[in-house]
Amino acid sequence: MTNTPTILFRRMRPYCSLLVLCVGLGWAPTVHAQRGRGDPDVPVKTSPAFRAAFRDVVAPSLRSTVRVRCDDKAAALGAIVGADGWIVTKASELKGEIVCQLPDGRELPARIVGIQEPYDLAMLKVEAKNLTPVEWRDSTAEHVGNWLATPGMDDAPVAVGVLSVGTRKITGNELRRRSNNGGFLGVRLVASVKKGVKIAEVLRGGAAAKAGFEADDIIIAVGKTPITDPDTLFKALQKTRAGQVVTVRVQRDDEELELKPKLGKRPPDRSDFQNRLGGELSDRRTGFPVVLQHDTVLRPSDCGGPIVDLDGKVIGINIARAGRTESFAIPAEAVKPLLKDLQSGKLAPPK
Amino acid sequence: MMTPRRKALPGPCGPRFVLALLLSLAFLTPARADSRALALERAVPAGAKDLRAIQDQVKRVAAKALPCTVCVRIGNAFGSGVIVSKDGYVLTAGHISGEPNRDVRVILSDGRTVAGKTLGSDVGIDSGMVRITDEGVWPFVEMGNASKLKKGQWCVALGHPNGYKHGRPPVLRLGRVLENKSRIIRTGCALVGGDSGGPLFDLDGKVIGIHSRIGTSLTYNIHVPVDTYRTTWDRLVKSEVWGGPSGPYIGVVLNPGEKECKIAEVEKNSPAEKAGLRPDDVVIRFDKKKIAAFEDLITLIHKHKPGDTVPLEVRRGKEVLNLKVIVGKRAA
Repeated sequence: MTNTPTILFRRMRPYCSLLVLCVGLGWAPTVHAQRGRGDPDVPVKTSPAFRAAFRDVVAPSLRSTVRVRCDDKAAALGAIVGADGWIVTKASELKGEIVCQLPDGRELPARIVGIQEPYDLAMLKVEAKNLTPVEWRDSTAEHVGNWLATPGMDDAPVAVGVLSVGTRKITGNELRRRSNNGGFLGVRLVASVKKGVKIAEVLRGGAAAKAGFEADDIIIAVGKTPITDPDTLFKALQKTRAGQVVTVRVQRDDEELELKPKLGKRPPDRSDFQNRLGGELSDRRTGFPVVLQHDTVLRPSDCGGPIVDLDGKVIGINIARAGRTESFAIPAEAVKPLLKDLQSGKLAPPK
Repeated sequence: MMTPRRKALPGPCGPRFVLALLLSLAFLTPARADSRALALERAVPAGAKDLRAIQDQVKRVAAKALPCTVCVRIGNAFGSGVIVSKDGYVLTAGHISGEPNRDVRVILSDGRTVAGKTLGSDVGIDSGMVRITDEGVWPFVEMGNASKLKKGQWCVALGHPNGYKHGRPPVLRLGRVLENKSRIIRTGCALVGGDSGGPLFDLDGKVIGIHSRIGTSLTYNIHVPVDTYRTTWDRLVKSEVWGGPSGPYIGVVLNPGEKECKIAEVEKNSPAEKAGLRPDDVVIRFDKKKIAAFEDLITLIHKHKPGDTVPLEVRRGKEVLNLKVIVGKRAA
């Protein structure tokens, strides 16, 4: 997001119309109390006693839930989707040596068979037979406000919440934004011109400013990728990281220049700040084509597994802790059609 | 009529039978309602049955409340609101409506946009009001009674977290009342920027609060009790603006999440701005006393009187600056 984050940053400030406590120092009296975590006498949704009420609800789905460990660390949960060792999980959390802990306690090495990047789903294969696949239910049957539970490896679910927004398509910039850690160039764009994308403004102190970019420069390529519109620039930069040096070809008046900016970090806006109040977020938390949204407080390492309704039916796969108020799941009806391709080797990850 | 009937039911079992019948009639319906009420009141649901009772009630609230929850757009700023009368009065937060008579775009839950104007606000408690000015009869919800809220009671928050998103209806969250005071309700319904002004409902589907502000923990979601809107209704409708935090202030916004006392924003024309403070400055000393976290600064400012000149040491990048700030007084 070169152009967009800048614009977003500017717009989001007024958008963020929720005062953080103590704004203007007027709310000081309540500040001391934020240190306390909840109230022992009112069990909130995250408390163990409350989650225990969902034991019967999640019981059937426990047979189809696995813990995915990468290099010996809990990385995600997973859902058994085929009796002979097929497991779906969150792709971007996978790295190194992958081991799946099955419901019966066995720990088996797993390999990645396929990755569907837009939905961030991966298919794992372990050598096992007679496993119990999840029982799917279309998410469209669910009403907003319905309880949803996330089974883990214990009797009680790892977390519970309610359906906040029914299944919906994501469009526009929200869909394009895949990474929240991509390199940041620090320019604001006018629009695409004939040859590339024109810079409206170079942000002070940013990567572009330090590398000598100027307003009215036209970006024509990043590395070997030709830039034709803001979208291609956006995508090219999504693949980069902060700290990386990239070669950018620009046209200034009649000459072509090669500039080498060392990309920076996207400056945090107040929205980021507020969304991080309340716990860690998933690295990949945007850009899923179809999601259902719930208010479960999920740990990023508890994504990738099934999410069930009060009947214990699996209505989706948790895909991200996305903000202070939201977690996302890919609905069952979107996951099911992907399974065949994920298993076939068609979507095999590069070696 | 009564006498022959009594006679028709002779013997000792007669009256007793009638009594039993009357008793069962009297208690049958309440008994059922009781089990639901119990499910809603239990600190921890006993199991799936209790959970379903809560879910059924939340579903009813959602059906009633969603069409009345709106996004309030003023200039480039987004907040939320709720329609509480068929002629289009919208409750919102004071920091959303701001000054009276500003143009508002009210985005209804189905995505339709209608025009409105800002009315009054109580800056101190953070209540505000908007009126839809387009012709029409609007779906609305009733205002409840926040003073009766009990700790632990279930509540539902709606609003537009992170601003209005095309194709996304108002977002529902379920939580419990954690604290109920005369000027604030605190709940476990997680809020974030963009939710401000949105409604909090009890499980009868009545508005009990308006979202106002948050703290670092997920149990710090603060709502303005709805009762204040009722008691100050006329003033709000007449576009009065009053209240506000009073006492000493310097005019900086601090982020409670920071390890140090880092300044997030400096208010325009504030004592802090006049002293030369800038966003991202880290306050190290105030009145020669060490500042470790933002609370220290708040405490120290409140020990001064408006008009006091106080030395201030801040870190800006690698530099350490010595500034002087004249403590101001916030208008009451």
